[in-house]
Amino acid sequence: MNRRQFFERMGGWSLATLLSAVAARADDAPYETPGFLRKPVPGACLQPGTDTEKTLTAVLDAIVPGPTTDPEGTAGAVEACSLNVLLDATFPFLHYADMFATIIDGQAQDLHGAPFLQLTQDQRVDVLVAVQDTVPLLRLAYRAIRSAFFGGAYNGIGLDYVGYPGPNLGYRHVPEFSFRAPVCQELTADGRMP
Amino acid sequence: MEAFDVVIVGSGFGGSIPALRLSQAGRKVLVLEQGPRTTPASFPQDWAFRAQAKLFTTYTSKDYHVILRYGRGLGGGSLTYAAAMLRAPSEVFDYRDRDDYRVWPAGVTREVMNPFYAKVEETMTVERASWSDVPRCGGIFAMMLDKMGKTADRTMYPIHDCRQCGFCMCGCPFGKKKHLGHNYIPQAEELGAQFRTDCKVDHVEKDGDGWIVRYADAQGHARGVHGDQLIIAAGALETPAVLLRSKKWVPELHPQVGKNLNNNGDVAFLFRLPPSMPKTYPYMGRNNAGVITYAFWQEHKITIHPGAGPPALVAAMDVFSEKDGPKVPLGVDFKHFVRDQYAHHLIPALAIGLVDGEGTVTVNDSGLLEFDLPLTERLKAYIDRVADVGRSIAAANDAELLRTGGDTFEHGDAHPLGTCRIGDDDSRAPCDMYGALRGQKNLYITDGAAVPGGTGVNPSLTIGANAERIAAHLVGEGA
Ligand SMILES: Cc1cc2nc3c(=O)[nH]c(=O)nc-3n(C[C@H](O)[C@H](O)[C@H](O)COP(=O)(O)OP(=O)(O)OC[C@H]3O[C@@H](n4cnc5c(N)ncnc54)[C@H](O)[C@@H]3O)c2cc1C
Ligand code: SF4
Repeated sequence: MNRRQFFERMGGWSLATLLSAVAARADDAPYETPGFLRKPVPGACLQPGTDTEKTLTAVLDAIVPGPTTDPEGTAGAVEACSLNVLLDATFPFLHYADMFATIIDGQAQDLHGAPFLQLTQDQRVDVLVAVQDTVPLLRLAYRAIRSAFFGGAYNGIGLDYVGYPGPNLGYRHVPEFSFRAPVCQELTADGRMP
Repeated sequence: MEAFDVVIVGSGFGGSIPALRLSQAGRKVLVLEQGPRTTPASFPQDWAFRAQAKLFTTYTSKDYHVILRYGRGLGGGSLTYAAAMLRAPSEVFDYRDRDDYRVWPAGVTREVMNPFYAKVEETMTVERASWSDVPRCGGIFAMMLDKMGKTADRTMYPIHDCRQCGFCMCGCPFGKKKHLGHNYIPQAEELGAQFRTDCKVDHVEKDGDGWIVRYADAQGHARGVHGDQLIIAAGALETPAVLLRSKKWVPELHPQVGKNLNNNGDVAFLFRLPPSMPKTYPYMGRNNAGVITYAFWQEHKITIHPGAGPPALVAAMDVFSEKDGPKVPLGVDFKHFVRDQYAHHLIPALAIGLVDGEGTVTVNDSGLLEFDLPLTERLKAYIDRVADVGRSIAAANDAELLRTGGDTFEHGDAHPLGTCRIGDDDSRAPCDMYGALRGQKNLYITDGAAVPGGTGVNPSLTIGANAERIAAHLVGEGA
């Protein structure tokens, strides 16, 4: 019986899990607990003041919905301070904020006969999808907003939401880190293709 | 004016490797690097924009559809790469493009490259990961292949005693990943090579048979330095930009400089696993997740490797599902999808394969770099072929292949090549097989810009080996 047949017979996944547990116990190196190192991110949330900023705040909320628009009531892009991407020197969005708001509001009027702020969540998503390729930078802006939330750019709300622990001292000795044993056949003897 | 035997622009693989070899041959070498000198403390475990912006220079294509970035600092991309260092399979060197043009020079084959690969591997202490080093999501990827009767191989890295913290692409804060600042650079410095950091080269000017390199120093002062020989190794994006900014002083610049931008055939996607499979934890462990499959190389000329994916990156992709997942990466469905899938059921993966370089790097009137990487019909067809292979892996495992949209990360991000490529044809390739820029004296290109096409695997080892090969020629060791 070859390794694969053996795996199939044992039910590959459960065997692999078993292997990992055995190997982890055999590894007598001291446990290095992940020891998460997250620090508070300095800086304040930009609060919407102008009409443009109010429209863009609604855009953020449509991209990653927050307590009032997510039926589960969890925090979203607004709570993650994602309006700050406008000010973030990494991006050129500040110069385009008015243009974004104007185009998005125009599309909202065309599609649903009302400004973006007055639309339902589903209508807002429709508008954002419809408009995303008319101004190429918009797709990038959507990405930056999602990434600000899920990547913890301005606070840790999004990291906690996805269950990502963030900075750490290493997972080497965490039992679930690796299967710690061969799990497939290899094509090459030394890792180098001929 | 200060004078050196050799001035080198850029301290990545293409710059630091010749710096050492030329210093060993007794040449007086100066390396100018726009980024800073780093220590492990320079590398915070932080995926947020402001931290990333310190580590990488990022460009979006003119149509904003593709992102390309490179690591900046003494050691270039080696500081923040995921450190997979693999030899390109033999067939890479025989690749012919759509015009049946052999993109690598006939004199450069895998056999010719082998001793230079070995030199880089030895100097950078590259070794194969053990199975204990393969993080969970790499192991599960390998199991998925095993289940369909295919192979996966453990990958080679210059990483030792890894803590598996999952932040290689932010730089290793524990000093476990051996970048060029641990080997080539200090060895060259020992022999007298100077590495000046925070020095950005603007352009170069002819100076008899040599060159003047114009740069801004750390204080922003304009400086000039003479080199009898000049090596430009500022990476596949910046090397052509330096040359194109120099047009006024280098009138007979080869017309192919900046052309043939190749994305190394990179295609990013995700596997979404069924709940019955083990949890993936894609944030645990080294970022290049320990294994690569060569099983599709023979038939499709692609390799695929899983990569740990920080949530910021996964969420930034335009992920969409062909089944019951989110149709657009916006709104409640997408938010819940990332939460429900990210930490336990996703494996990010990157396919690499052989495509023609159809992009272009240019500079605008202000001298700023711009690039185009069009989604041509050929590239689209290639991406679809890759997706079919991905789907076959998914189907064998009751998993789903999640595409990442027709743009940005799907075919961009990390591996630009070919913009000043070497080659046998005078009109198609700006450089001869030894990196000498055609039409110029004493000017060489030794970085990813010189590598003429896709490498079939992550490219740094091939860039390094090619730089070793050219350096051997420059010091008269032949090759
Ligand atoms: C996130 C990420 C992960 C990656 N992971 C891998 C991997 O696992 N394996 C792999 O093989 N490859 C990987 N790569 C790719 C790899 O980093 C590059 O292919 C490689 O570094 C290119 O080498 P190079 O010498 O051509 O240029 P670089 O390493 O980019 O070096 C160029 C240097 O020139 C400097 N420079 C640029 N312009 C100027 C100027 N005007 N004046 C002075 N200095 C200048 C830059 O600051 C830089 O330091 C990764 C890339 C990224 C972005
Ligand atoms: S995973 Fe390993 S190599 Fe990567 S940053 Fe952490 S300790 Fe360094």
